[in-house]
Amino acid sequence: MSERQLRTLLERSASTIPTGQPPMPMIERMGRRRGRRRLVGAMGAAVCVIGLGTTLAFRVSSNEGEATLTPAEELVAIDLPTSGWRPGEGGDGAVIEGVLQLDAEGCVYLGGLPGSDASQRMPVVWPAEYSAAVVDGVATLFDADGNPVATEGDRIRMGGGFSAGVSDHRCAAGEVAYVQSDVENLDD
Amino acid sequence: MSMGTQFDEFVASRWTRLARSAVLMGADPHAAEDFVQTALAKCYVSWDKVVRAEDPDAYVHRVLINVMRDSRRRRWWGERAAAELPEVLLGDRTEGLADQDAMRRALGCLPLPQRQVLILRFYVDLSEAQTARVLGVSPGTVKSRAARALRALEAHPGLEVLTSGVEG
Repeated sequence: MSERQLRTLLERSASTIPTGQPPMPMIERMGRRRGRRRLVGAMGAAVCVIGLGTTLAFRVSSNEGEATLTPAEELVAIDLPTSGWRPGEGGDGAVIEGVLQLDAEGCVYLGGLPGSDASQRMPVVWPAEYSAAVVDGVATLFDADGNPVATEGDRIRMGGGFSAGVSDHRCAAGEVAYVQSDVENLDD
Repeated sequence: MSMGTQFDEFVASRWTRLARSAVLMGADPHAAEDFVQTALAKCYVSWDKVVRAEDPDAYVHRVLINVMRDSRRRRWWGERAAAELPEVLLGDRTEGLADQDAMRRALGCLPLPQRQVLILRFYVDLSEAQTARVLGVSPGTVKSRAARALRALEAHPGLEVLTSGVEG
């Protein structure tokens, strides 16, 4: 087969592959989100260097014994329920997926995926050393290494199980999704 | 021209070819558009780097190939059980579909590195040097992979009829 013949056959085969229009708004939204996440990563690294808990980073106020979060600078820590589970350990095999959300009480939860029950709300217990913060008004989830893995509104998928009473954290009451995997960002 | 306009124009003019490249490299058509979307979103963040690159097309294809490679590393829960089996495409519905099937089946018999070389060289129309940069290999490797892939396609029984009808 000559190179010329191959070009013709590839072109002919490719022309039968159906394609739609480029989803410009979606691409740009994803791009902006990635850019923001990269910025958050850089900010997170800087904060780590300076030292969490110093006056520079956060100001957390208290309201009737419950922690509520007030933006101090541009980055506010979120109190995240975590377990002792770490990557590499065994775990349950259920698929946990939803949209990352933050409620008015400062609790991160999974909302229903687009097209499903919008009122769905699943509290989540995250793997060990996961953390979260509100950065420029957007909740951001970080993995155990401090890398941003998802921001508010992202569709995410994990493995793990569903259980009740696994945590006494105020954001993990009732039945919770118990994450035993890395977080896969479906919008990434 | 503003960055946004430049990016929009680039996407509008390359979208179809990028998606079809991904399919020819082994992705199913729906996944291919997702891969291209992700690759372009990554390029959007560093668009200044893309336009400064010697060859923006090669740059974007490199990102696309990385996205496709990363997707293959997804964990098992990335695959979902389906209640119904996907519709099976019959190869003999029309002549066009038969051709398409034969060509894609033949490409599917090649090892991925060889298939990538063929698509980048002869569908995307990159030079040997550009293809080498995209794949992170030497131009000599590109040349030898292309030669091996062409020999394998020549020997593929399903392509004999197609090749005979195409001017060499």
